[in-house]
Amino acid sequence: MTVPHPAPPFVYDLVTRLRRRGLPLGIDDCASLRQALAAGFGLASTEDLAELCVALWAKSVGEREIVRAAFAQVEVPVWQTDVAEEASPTPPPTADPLAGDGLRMDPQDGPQPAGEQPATGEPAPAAQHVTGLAMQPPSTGSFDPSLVIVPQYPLSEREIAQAWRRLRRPVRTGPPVELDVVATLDRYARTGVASAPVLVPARRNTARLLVLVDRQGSMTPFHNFVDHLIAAIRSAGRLDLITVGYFRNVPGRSRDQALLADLPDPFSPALDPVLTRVAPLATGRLYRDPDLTEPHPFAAAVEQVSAGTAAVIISDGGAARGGFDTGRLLDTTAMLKALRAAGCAVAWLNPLPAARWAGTTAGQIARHIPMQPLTREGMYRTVDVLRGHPERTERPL
Amino acid sequence: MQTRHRVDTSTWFDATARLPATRLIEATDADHVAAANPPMRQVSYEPYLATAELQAAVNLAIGLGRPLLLQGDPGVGKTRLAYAVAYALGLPIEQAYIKSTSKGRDLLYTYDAIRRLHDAQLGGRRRGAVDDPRQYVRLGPLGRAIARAGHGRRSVLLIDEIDKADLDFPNDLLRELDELAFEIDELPHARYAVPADRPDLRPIIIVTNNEEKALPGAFLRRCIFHYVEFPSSAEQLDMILQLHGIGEAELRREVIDVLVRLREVDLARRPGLSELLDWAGFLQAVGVPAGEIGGLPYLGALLKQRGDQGRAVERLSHP
Repeated sequence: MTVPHPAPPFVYDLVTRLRRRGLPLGIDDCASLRQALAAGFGLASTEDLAELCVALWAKSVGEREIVRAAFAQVEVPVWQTDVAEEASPTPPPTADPLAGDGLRMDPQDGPQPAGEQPATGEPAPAAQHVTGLAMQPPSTGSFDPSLVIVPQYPLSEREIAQAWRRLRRPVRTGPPVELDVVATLDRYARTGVASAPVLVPARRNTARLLVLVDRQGSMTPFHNFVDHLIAAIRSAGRLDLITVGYFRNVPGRSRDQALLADLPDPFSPALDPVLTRVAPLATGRLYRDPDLTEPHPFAAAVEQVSAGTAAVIISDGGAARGGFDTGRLLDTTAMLKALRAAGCAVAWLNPLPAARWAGTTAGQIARHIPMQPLTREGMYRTVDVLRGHPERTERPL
Repeated sequence: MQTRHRVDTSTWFDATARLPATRLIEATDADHVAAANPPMRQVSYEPYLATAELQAAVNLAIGLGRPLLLQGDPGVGKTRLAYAVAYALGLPIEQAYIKSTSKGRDLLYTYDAIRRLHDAQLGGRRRGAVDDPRQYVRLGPLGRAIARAGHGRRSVLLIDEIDKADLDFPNDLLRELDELAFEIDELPHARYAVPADRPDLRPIIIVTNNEEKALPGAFLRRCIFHYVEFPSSAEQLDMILQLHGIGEAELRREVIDVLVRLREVDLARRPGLSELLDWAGFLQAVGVPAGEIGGLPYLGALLKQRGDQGRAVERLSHP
């Protein structure tokens, strides 16, 4: 199909803006807009055109707001479908954007000069008895449709969904409901007598995910992003079970603090000489809610984990503040060992880029377990690790 | 050029048209689609108040031949729209209610391999049927809609709660929705298709989604999107109640007043339109006087959680 005329510039502008906001629009989508316009849709007014684009391009309420905001940002031509009626060249005189909302200040209404006599013909304003709130609370102004109030995170819901959908472990479990045609025919061919069909259980995704989220402190800037990430994983992955536990810095202190005294070189950050002697964390607590108000013993959470559960830890590992803390490294190691002992595949997602890990606790943790930055590629590699793909670390636990 | 890619605006859904109380529409409960003279059925009028935006979205979906994807709060009337469109256009409606075990192929056809094997094993009287595999194929809702188009008749297809199914479900239907044609693997030469030169026979597909799971992008790309808003004004609610046979103006006003105030309360599950209609319909049927509605009688029809009921009673009794 050849395009006889190039698209008007506002369409390029619009599509570019929407693509920047993460809407995967392409040639097909522009072609369908052209088709719909040719069929007579969206021609009544600019709002009508905006609603047409919403219907064609948006796929959720958030995307609808993004499309509407993008429309308010670009200069959309005013349709002139009615040729007979001349559009007025100047806006009507009442089109004062501030009129009517009480914000306009007239310089003549300012304080009067002191020597001037007040007008005598008018009755003096009498004080009125009022009850409750005397005035309306001040308005913050009118709503600006060009402002996008939908949050945009570094990873869109689609990207997160695509990555985490790959976490699959299809197993036939449950009641036998599906017909196994091959087995039925095979049995009939072998025995030669009429027999009941062979049924097998349906395939189900049995992958389980345990998400441990570091909260507060240096993770505060990432709260909303991590919440968005977890909501997207929940809605996208058809996992058997997703458990989320929250903690601050570490779920608990390791019992083996005395090991720190045995380190041969107090100035070396590595725990390697005593690594094998760190016992798995048996105490400590997680929280069920992101505000850290509903405690839940860490040991109980680990007990509920079945072998093969994927565990992912979302934390900066001390990289945000940039310090190094041997005690935290020891506690973290104990936690990781407890998860490993329960049979989890463990991976770490760090919201900070890899360049910031060096010289911090996070850099040391990354030597022991696979740590990836919280990016698209990082998530893919993390899911690979959780699926059982071997990842080489410098000094495995 | 695929059928889907042709624009056809010959069919126009007019939400404001006056419609008769019953209509004679082709029955859809038969397993097979008759080539001619299909059985007819009396269908009664489906009251529905569609906004201008919703009507535009429906017409856009019909014109472009794409599925209309409806989202919105539960009980806001997503499913009923399909019935209203089918009634307004006088078309038969095929319904696909999606379950967690639904497979994409079920929408097209099911092949009863067990029964055929059984018949083959038993032999005898049913022997002749075994040689004809067509006996064991049953068309699904989408399959019937496409087969009906092959006979020159159009249908409306409702795919309800598509997010209940497995992730692969929408993806498995991409090709069939694109080409509006399918083959039956078990029957070597069986092919059903909407005639390529007849865009006016494309099934009108309405998909509802409760956003429990994210749908795949490839499927979403092919849809027309509309978010069904809860009616914003008391006048709209009044019209909807009136349309559904709540005759007493006083009762309507009281009921709407309660609902508007309830929706301001922070409830775990805010009452939707279907709950409102249930509640108001029952109040009218048992003849509760309008003055007593502020006391929230028969609240169980409106609020389905104990905590919500307590909060509502507390809030509405102390304004």
